[in-house]
Amino acid sequence: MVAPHTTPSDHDLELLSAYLDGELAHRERISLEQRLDRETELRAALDDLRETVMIVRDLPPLKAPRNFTLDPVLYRRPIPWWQQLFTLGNVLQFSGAVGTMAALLLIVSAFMLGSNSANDGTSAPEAAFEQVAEPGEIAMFASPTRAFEATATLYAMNQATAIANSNTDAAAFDATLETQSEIYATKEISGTMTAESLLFAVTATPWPTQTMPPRLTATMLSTEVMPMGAVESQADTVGGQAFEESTSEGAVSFAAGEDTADDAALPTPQPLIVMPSPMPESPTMLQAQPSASDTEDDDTGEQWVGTPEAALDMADSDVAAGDENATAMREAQSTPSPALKEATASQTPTAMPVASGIGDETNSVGAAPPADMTDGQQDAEAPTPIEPMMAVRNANKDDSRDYTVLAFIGVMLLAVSLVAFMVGRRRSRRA
Amino acid sequence: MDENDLIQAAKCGDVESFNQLVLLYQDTAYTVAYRIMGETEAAADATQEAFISAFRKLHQFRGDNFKAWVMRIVTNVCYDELRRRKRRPTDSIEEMHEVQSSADGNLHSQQENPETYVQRSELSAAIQDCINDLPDDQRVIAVLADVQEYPYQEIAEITGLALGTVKSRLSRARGKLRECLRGVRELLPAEYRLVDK
Repeated sequence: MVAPHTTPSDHDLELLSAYLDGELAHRERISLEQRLDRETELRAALDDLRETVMIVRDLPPLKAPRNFTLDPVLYRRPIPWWQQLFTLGNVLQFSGAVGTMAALLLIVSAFMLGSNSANDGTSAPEAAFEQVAEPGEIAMFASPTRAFEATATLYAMNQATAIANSNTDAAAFDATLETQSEIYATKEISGTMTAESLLFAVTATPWPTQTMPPRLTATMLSTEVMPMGAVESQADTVGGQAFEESTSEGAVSFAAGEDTADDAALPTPQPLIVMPSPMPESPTMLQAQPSASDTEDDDTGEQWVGTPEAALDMADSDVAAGDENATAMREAQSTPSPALKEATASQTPTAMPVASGIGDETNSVGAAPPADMTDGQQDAEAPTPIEPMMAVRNANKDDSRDYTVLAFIGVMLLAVSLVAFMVGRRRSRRA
Repeated sequence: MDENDLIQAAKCGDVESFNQLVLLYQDTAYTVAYRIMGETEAAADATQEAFISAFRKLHQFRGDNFKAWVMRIVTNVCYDELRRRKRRPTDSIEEMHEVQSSADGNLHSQQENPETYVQRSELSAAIQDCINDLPDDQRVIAVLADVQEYPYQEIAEITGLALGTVKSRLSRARGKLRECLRGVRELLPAEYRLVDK
């Protein structure tokens, strides 16, 4: 039985309660323990309070009347909007849509560029030439000295590029050269034109632009500009000596332009063959060409256009043109004429190519035929548009190949984008 | 999966993982709720509401004692409900006693004989009656201190009371419980009766 005893004060009960819970400060606890040792009533109240606390704390735990689990359907945590935005389905859907648009744009661009290239295929090289050789420049090129200056400058700008591209463009140049040589060898050109003379005029034309590849332009020479003694186109009439004269004297005489420089109209350079690359395999030709300074020093105003050695080197490499002309050229190469030697010796060989059609009016293509020319000469002199079909075809072929690759990439991108879009849409719907 | 894995999964929105945590602590939570509320349905409602609130606030859990965190939520829910009832009293005392009597049936254990079970049930009912007779403010603090054994500082934080107020209310609650338990002393176990000597 709980014995009735004097009830401690509320403050004493509060101290005892806190003492049981260990919530008293050190000083209060010491003071209370001293009182507990002295006051039996206070100690009995502490025991009574401890008993009460133990009874409450010993209450057994209850069992839950039911489960308080949550319904997954009702209490699924909502995904924040920014997380929903970046779900895999949405990301795939968005990327697929963007990729589809990009692919369509790529395909349309490829077809448009391809069609434009096909339409402007023949004019592309010409446009390139016009881009570089503006009318003012053409007029400037009419001046021999200025022409060589410009040529020297242009070549200096592009020599490195030409050399760098020589390896890759060598094959294309050979192919073009061979084809052109075949054309020259087989085409019935007027008697004033020979394959050798044409090849002779094939010079590397640098183009002062980084975006355009160095070009090689073959200029068809007219009878007006052809030197005396030019060989006939028939192989049987071409002798080594004749060609020697043609090449040697022609190289000097039509460059000199002493006869027609003042009479002829300003020539318009007309590239007949636009090569996608410089002449990588005719270093002798490039090196055999004179420098501009040397040309300027020449009091006679003789302008060097091309060297027979270079042309013959090209002819040597020409398998298709292995006819008598080639033989004649070989002979001419083996026995250069004194005039040629003089011409080449007076000009320091440098690695500067000469732009075709550049120089004196006498060697310019497209120059108006003199009035004293014969009909045959005028026919031959007329700027025969020897279409650079092969070169243009090669250029267009390269462009079309690029556009085809571009279109193919666009188609592949379109397919991947569509798949991604459909997968993302399916995932989004499923979610 | 251990408790931490379940908590992390529940934080990611896995309701099933959270339900496993609920099954672990629902008896304890219900017990606390019942000691505070004094009736079965109110305790069950408070427990359910506490678990729902815990699931929604799970991202705020930073501690390492999930059980204490849940018990604190249960206590807050019960305390809020008691304050709401104090503003709008609707339930009768008789109804609460009926509920508590039925709730004590859950204490039955298969290992104890029926006589012991009945005796323990009567003792538990008597103690719960004494707790229920306490004023709400004192009952909550008595349950927090003696059932959940919270320190005074934490009780003060839960109830929003000053530390001194907690001490005084707890002392008064224990005094009333002592007087109440004297009336049911014949139900007390022998070890408790020894104290009376």
